[in-house]
Amino acid sequence: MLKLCNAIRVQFIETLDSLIETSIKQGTSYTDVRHGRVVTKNIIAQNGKIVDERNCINSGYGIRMLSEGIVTFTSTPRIRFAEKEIKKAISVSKLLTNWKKGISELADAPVADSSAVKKPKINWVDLGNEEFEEKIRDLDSFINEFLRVDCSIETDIQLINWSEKFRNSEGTRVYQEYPYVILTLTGRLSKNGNQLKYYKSYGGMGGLEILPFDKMEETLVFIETINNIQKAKNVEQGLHNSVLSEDMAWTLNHEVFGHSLEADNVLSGRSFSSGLLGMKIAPSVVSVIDDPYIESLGYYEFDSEGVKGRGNLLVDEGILTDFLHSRLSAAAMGTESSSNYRASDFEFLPQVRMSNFFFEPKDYSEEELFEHVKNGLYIGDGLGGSSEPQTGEYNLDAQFGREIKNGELGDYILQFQISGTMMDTLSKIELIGDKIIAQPGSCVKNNQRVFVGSIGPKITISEVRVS
Amino acid sequence: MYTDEELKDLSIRVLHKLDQKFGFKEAEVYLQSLSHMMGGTEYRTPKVFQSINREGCAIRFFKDGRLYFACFPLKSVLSDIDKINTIVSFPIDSPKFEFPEIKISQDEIDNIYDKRIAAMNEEEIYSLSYSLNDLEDKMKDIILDGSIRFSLERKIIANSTQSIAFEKSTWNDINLRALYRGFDLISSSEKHLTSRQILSSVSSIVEDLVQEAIQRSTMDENTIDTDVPVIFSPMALSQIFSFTIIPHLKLGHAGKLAEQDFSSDFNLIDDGTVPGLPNSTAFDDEGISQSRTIIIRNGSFQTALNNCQNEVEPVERTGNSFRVKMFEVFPRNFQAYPEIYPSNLIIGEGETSLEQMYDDTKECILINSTQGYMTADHHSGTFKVSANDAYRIENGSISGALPTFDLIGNMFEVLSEEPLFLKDRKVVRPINTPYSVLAPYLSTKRVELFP
Repeated sequence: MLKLCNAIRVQFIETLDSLIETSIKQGTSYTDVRHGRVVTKNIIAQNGKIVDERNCINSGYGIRMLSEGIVTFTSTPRIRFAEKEIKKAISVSKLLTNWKKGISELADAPVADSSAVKKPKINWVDLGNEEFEEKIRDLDSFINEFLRVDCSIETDIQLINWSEKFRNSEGTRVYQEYPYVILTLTGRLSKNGNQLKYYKSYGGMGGLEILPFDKMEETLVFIETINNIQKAKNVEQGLHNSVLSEDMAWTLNHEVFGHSLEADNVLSGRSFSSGLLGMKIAPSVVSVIDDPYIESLGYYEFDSEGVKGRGNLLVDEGILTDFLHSRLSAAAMGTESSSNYRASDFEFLPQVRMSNFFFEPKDYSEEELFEHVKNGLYIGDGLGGSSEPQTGEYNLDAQFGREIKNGELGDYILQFQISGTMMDTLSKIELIGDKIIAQPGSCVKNNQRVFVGSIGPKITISEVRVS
Repeated sequence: MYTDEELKDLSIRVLHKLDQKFGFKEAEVYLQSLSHMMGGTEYRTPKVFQSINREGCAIRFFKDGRLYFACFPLKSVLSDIDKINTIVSFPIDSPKFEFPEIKISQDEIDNIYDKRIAAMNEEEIYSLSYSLNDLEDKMKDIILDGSIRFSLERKIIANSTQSIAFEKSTWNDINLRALYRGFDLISSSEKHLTSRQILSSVSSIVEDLVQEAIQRSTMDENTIDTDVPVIFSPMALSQIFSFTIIPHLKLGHAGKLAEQDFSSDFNLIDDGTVPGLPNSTAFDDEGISQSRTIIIRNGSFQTALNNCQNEVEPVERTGNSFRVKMFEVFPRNFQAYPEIYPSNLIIGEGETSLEQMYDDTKECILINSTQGYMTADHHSGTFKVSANDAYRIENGSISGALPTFDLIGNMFEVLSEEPLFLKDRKVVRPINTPYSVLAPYLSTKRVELFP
């Protein structure tokens, strides 16, 4: 059996090499090939009973080529078709050079020959149906034991086994295999005929052992919020000195600020941070890091062009020090890749993306943050929103809030929105907490969704505009 | 890629195997073969040229009266389904329903297939790119980014009624952005166009876009009068409409619409049969013929959209089952479970033209686009958005762009309390929605502005 597996692996490597060879023979100066396989299972339970399951297997090839200074990309499920697509891409490069001269090039990157495999302690593939049902039922029973309101609970579990082989014409060979699990609890209840909803996600990179099945006390914060939102008040519109929850601080940082630091956005005029490199953009308490080595949904050891992952300090004590780069954007800006070129899977061209992007924690305890704000607003978990990367304008919704009175958390507040411009908001950050937490997060850019870590500490911001 | 005949043959073989090997007598096989070709320019340099190909198969089947779902790459589906009993674990909680008999005679619709797109000729992309960028040479302060996508989708639905549906359709999507360095500031304007045929000329669209970008670079510094009427553009209206009203259009979720006392001027139709509208197609993703469904007539709720699985009792089928994966450039995806979505929504127009409205109103505010609409509350209809592309209209003309301001309202109230639907309409597709909306401009006084 082992011999057979090795024989298949060797044959496979030869296939990838032959695609690169086909491409190079036809005149490309660089080619990389990704072969990916993604197996997913999505299970949904209502009040402890499984009501839905969806299964999917997907695999195929993504091939990127550089020819005449022009980048082309093709993805295809079948090898036979890949060869034809390579020829088409090369003919496009030739066609294009007659019109506009290609100027793309790749910054140098070390050649890697490595594999990164993370195995789950408890693989969902090995779990029997009855065990699974029991875990979900037990979690639901635990939640119901503490619930004091009439509420339906949905448990949504996403189980993903992701693997990808990468090879390029420079000799880099990387194999990566990561398991991801995400469990999202959603509570729904009604107030005066309107539905109220609150959700919270758990999990990251790993197996079922990282979900709250065996550490159910992790869901107590979810339960406490559900128990209180029915009697929550409407927000008072205006400017509030605020403590942002870890999730909301991350949402603001990632959605509004982080995307402006992606060098492809900077190069195409879609970033308000363009031109601010080396400038003081925030108080000295603010430092911002992107680090793919935190074991969350944003974990990877190599990005989608085979560059070894590394942590990047992007804002150092308020000074913007760097952007996030691919080899392409790095060459255009005369620097090196920061290992942030990522795609969700083989089907898509990678883009410059964040991994685990977060405010560096400082020395302030949670008590000190609330004491500092004294009277104001606690902004709970994020719900989503939108931003305009060119101007830094944003609207983000919070799932709930709480009054802060004399430095203590008070009454609950129903879903509300915060808005502003990021440069102004950055200037109003006052304190940053000493603890970071990692939760599952996702990021959509140019119609492509990837997992990221929602990571960060609580922060305080003065005069947050709330409606 | 597979030929049309190979795809049909494969769907039958999968169905046959489910029946013969596993005894699944009630089953459905959905095959999708999709090719995109994308190119264009960005910041005066060529964009990465991409050709993306997808071939996949989704199956639904009843086993012991219970429904299961799984999907596979087409290349390996016949071997992957050997392990089907270990891949699927839990059934979907669904009432028992019959997979529909597909009427072969209705599997064609005009103008959804363009042979030039199907041939995927890369030269077409670059000839369109040339025309997008023509104006750059004439106006030095303008940068025009253009992205062009040709898509060819072939879908097949075969089910155990021994019927099969096959359709080929094409799309031409163009995204345009104009950046203008004006006197006050750098401004930009964007447009997204979807057509089932190759657009013959885009020069007039580019000129409009450039004018919009120039217009946005001149700020109106006067204080916003919060008492004047607001006019939502078709895009601004559709953005908020999508996240407040559309969730109520599905069978089983339409109770709120039936309770509402909408204005008698409000009419809403879903129509997947109109040639030329972006989501017209012969049949939905369960094989039901597309239809024209009157949802709201003169303010009164008539019919909800449905699909096979959600029919609680026999109703006329509207053909609104689509497999949609949100946040994707082409949202139809075999990996998604079929759910109820609109095809092309049509909001009824009024009699007053936009121009006449401008002339008749001393002052009003035109909102072209908003942000923050995706978190609108569809239960209550409440929305809180920022108007990030808005203009003051004074004495019949635009006096300048307004700085971003917040806007709060309730869409049920807006559509009930004297809405003025204008005559001018446009087809739009708000971001992250799989359907199109033919929407008019809408004037209302039922929103609060917070400058």
